[in-house]
Amino acid sequence: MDTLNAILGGFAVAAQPMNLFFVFLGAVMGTVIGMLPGIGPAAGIALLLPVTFGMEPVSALIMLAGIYYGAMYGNTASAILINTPGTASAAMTTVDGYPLAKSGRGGAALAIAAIASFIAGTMGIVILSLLAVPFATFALRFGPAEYFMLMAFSLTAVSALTGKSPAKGAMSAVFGLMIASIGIDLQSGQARFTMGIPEFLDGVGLLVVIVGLFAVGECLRNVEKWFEGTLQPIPIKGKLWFTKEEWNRSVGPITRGGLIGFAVGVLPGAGGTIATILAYATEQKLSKHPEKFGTGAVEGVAAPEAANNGSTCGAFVPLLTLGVPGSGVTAVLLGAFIMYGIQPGPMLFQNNPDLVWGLINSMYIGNVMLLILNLPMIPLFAKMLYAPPGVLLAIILGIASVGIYSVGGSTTSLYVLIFFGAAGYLFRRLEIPAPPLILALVLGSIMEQSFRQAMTISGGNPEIFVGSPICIILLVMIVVAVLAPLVVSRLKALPGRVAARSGTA
Amino acid sequence: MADRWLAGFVFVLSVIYLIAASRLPSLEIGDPLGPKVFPYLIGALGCITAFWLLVESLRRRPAAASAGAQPRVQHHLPAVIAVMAWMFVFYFLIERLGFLLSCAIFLAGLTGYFNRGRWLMNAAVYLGFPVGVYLAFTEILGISLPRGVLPF
Repeated sequence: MDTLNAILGGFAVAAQPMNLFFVFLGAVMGTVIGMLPGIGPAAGIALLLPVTFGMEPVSALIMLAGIYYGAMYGNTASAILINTPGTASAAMTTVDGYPLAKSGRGGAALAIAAIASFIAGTMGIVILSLLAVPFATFALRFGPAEYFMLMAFSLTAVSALTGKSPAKGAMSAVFGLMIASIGIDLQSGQARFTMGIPEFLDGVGLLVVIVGLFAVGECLRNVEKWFEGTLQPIPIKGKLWFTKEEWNRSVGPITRGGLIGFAVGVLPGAGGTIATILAYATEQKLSKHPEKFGTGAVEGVAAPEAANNGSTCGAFVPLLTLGVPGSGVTAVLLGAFIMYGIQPGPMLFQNNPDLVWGLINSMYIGNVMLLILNLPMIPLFAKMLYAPPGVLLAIILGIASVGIYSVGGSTTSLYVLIFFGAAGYLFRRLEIPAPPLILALVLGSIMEQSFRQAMTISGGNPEIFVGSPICIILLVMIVVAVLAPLVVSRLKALPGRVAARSGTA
Repeated sequence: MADRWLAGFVFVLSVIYLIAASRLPSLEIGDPLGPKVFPYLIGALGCITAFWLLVESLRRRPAAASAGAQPRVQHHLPAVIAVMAWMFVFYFLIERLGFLLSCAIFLAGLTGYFNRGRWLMNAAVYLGFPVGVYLAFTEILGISLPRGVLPF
């Protein structure tokens, strides 16, 4: 009953005119950020964080979350129209979306994608609402040792599963932990690894690392891509609607894709990209005409689009109920929570129900807005794809600079930004995934704290980390996460085969 | 080959990190672990990942030769370094000339090179963006940006 009241209270929060405005703003920016290749939701959220400092935390979080799931709508248009996914999780959409656009069914592909995103997104929010309280209640049993193991699991999974090489993923996580250890140690008051730079006593700012790695790093990479010229988008042909037959073929993929997406999204590490691959592979297996996949099958657009929206909702489950994010983007969102002085986790639902339910329920409204933005208005947004890359590059670097300067308040933070921008560029060149670094940076000090608390409780005996059934289960999950890349590399080979056969890779 | 350099770099970095950690003064009051132990674990993990990557790159070698058909983005390192240097100039000038002027110069340079020939559009960007951002930050968000040599 309490929960029901809390949920209704959340609707009251979400429906406040101010918050409606911020959902709308988040949805618009998410669509744009998702659509533009080269800037994803993690960088987009980080770029906007500085301007949210004066805002109400609820409104700010509603807007930032809107950018996250909004990007899952926007990333479709570039996948279908220029054969380049706006964010990594739309990569599977290109396989059938681009052939559809080439054959003049681009309008139908966009429409089915928007509807699939909407249905899966809404389904996902309902499941999120149902799971949130049981998850949070369960998490109340976690002590410092369990928390440490949970964070270790999340970090292992993200390291092992983002990127091609698990060793490089782990390396990225180690960099993040190293950066997190810079600054004053909270328990002993000892300054560590500050390299004599006074600004580092408070630690290296999360924002400067994220903006540097994602936004500036990507811009520097785009400098190189600029020399190769740009792809011209295929104009949207035909009506922005689908036939009855196309719809009938899509209902199943949307439902299954949404559910698969949600389940994969809850797990740390896997995230949108793997969810879309799984959903696509499932539909191909179930289809009576698997050979049509890769040549413009509408199911091949519906399933991954549903999956990536389902997975965003799923990703909110561990973030909100456990306080432990399972991906780069949710790590940035956790960073936002912490900056506003709010600690997500089991207590959030008891101490701050208006905030958490306001945020969750705002997503229903956000999805309706996104459907409108991405159906009748998508031709308008698609014009963004014609924006000259040189101008985009300049503007993104401008926003990054002014944002970091306004938060850091000194030019030192700007020089640190150049450093992490260069690091981001090198990460891309050397194929080191950045999300493990961000996650490790956000979790680093919390992990150290729970580690030391657990060791204090046990009097220095490390057996406490295998001392409860929950710990042992988490340990098993860590081992599974280490082995998971073997399975995933086989899965990833699958779309490659599809693409090779149809010649659209 | 790049992977082996990377493995070597991470190994050296981890060792330096471990040495720096061992030099931390530790005050063991009420905390059995002190500020050093967790960094020791991180440093050790760093060494492990370096060896792991080395093993991975040695094992991948025969397979990589056959799968090298992927299209690659050409590298233009001088251009990348030039853009970073240009950012440095912007940041060096931001407090000296003020935000409006330094940002306008920064954007004019970038768009002048990467969006060549479209004078009108570029002027709109390098004049409109700094003014818009300056007004939004100082008037709406209440965050001050360096005024510099300009009187407003």
